[in-house]
Amino acid sequence: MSLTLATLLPTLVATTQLDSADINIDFADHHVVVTTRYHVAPNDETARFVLMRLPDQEVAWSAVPAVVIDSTDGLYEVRFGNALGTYTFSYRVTGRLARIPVMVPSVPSGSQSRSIRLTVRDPPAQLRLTDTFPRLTIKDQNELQAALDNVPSFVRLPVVGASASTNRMADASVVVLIAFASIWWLVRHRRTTQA
Amino acid sequence: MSLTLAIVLVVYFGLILGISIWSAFHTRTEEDFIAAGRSIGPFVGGAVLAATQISAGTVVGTLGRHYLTGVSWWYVWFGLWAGWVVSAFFVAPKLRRFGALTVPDYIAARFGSEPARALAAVLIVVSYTIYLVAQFQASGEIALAVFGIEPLTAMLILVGSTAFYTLLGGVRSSSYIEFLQTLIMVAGLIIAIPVLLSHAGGFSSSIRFLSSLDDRLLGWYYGPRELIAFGISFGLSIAAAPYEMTRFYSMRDERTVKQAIAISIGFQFLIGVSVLMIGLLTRVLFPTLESADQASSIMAFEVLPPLVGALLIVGMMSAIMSTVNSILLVTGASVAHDLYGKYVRPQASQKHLVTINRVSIVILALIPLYFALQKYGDVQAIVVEQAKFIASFFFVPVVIGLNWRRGTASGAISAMLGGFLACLLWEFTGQRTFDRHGIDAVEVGVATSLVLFVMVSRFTRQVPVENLRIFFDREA
Repeated sequence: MSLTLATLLPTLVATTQLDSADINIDFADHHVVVTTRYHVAPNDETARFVLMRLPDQEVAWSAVPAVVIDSTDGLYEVRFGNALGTYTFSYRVTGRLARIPVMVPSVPSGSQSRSIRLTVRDPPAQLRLTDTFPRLTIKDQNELQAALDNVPSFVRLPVVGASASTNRMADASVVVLIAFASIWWLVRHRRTTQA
Repeated sequence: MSLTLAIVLVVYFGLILGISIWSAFHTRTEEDFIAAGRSIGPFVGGAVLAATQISAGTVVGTLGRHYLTGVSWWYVWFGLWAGWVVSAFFVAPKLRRFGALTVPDYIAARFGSEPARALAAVLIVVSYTIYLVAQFQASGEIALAVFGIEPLTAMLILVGSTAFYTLLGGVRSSSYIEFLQTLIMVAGLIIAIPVLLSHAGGFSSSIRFLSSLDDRLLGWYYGPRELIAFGISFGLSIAAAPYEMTRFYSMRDERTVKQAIAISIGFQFLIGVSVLMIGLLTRVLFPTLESADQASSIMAFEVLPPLVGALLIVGMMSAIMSTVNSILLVTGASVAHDLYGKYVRPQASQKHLVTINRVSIVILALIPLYFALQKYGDVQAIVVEQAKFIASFFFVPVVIGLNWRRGTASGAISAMLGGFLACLLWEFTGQRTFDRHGIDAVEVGVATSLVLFVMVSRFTRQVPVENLRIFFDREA
């Protein structure tokens, strides 16, 4: 690989880009149904999509839109022979539902316009909203939403009691660390000044 | 922008303002401005060296490079740390003992040559303008990803705020501010890792996902030959980096400098490991970002909890500001102290030189804006290019010059000019066929510089013994 300035970095930037997307996650009894719709521009380019399920999950396709390659590691790769412009997928996930796998397009989103809409309907009642990934906001009693710039590979929906809140612990650690550092600094500064 | 981020920004910039004003009251002479009255201790000094080293190239560029290419880029750190060790044993103690204000001061004194000083000053200004381009570009990427504001606006804010605290207090204010920045960066990066791991579902799940994306991410994306070339660029440039060397001058004594370098490597190790893990975990969570340079800011803004995310964004902006600040101090000093003070108006007063230094800082901060807006390459690529040039023209006169008394003024001038031109020429010719021969521009530049230094020094007049005494006192 040549190391000149222009070619130093193998870049992800491509001419084909994700124009907008709708990702819907609907909770039902012991499973979720994920429906994704991606608009790729320009629409004469083909796209590739990847989904990674977790070991303790099963994925069942409601409709197989193209060639689906299921690797032994739980990797699903979907390839299209013809360009469609809009690509729709629907699949059912069963098993542990704390992390819902999302079909990820191989093309990046082309703007910072928050054009990727994520909707979670009928989430678990004990959902710990502060720890979700991506961050979700309550739209109404049964619906959470997020507007994103990029497609996440998972949607994390932790419930109360499953584990400690990492976000709260992280924020608390920062406060403690800053307080500790400030006290240490003040004590040290006073000693130096007195000396 | 979230309320938490707004509060953290206001508190942080309030602190910077306070430190700058306090420093301004303690800055009376040129030595105060450029070398903080030589009062910095080992812990603050180590954090300052780390902060100066940890630039946009690290928090934006290196993190982005790990996001895109995986683990193998991490081995480049070993080259960099080797450069620090060389600096600790062969460069820093002698330079601190010498106690000059700028690196061209050293060149002039060691080789007894004012033309060598002028050449060094010019080359510093040229190469660091390239470095500033990378910093400005990184600030534009963060601003676009986090605040949604145009890169030009972000760059102007960066120039304004950094020039402000540089102008007010010189090295004294920037040293304390950089200490604060390093603590924030290290804390923010380390705390971010468990949060990201928790979101990504742990180590094994992340590793499995990364392997499925591209198995080179966890193996050898770059080959050993490429990594050696990158490592040499960073290592040789850091061993003779003018902005790091200027920081040695501000420390209490030689022992403090060595201790500070060791502490700095510790900070860098923590930051290096954190940046590697964060880059990889961000790839797991958002596998297809449009620009790898945005990985750090998107991770901080979209993934982390509000306070940690806000601190990390502030830390990243701080890293850029501290590097811009260090570079502006060096380039400003090169223009005011080494060019204006020596050639234009040698009888200028201390007050007048500080004013010229401040005016130079403003002008030199504005020039790279144009180039940053053109976006010639990603942030890490620009940093690598700048490192190649610094290594090519400064490694030999500084590191060899400090340890080989036979080096002469003509040798130093030939080495600087020859190294710079050879690196530049190879960059536009031989570098394109690196795959075939595996010879990098930095190797051509440093080799040319070394050959010229030795050959020309052999056949030219020796440097007077009084110039050598301070650097070779045990032999003299």
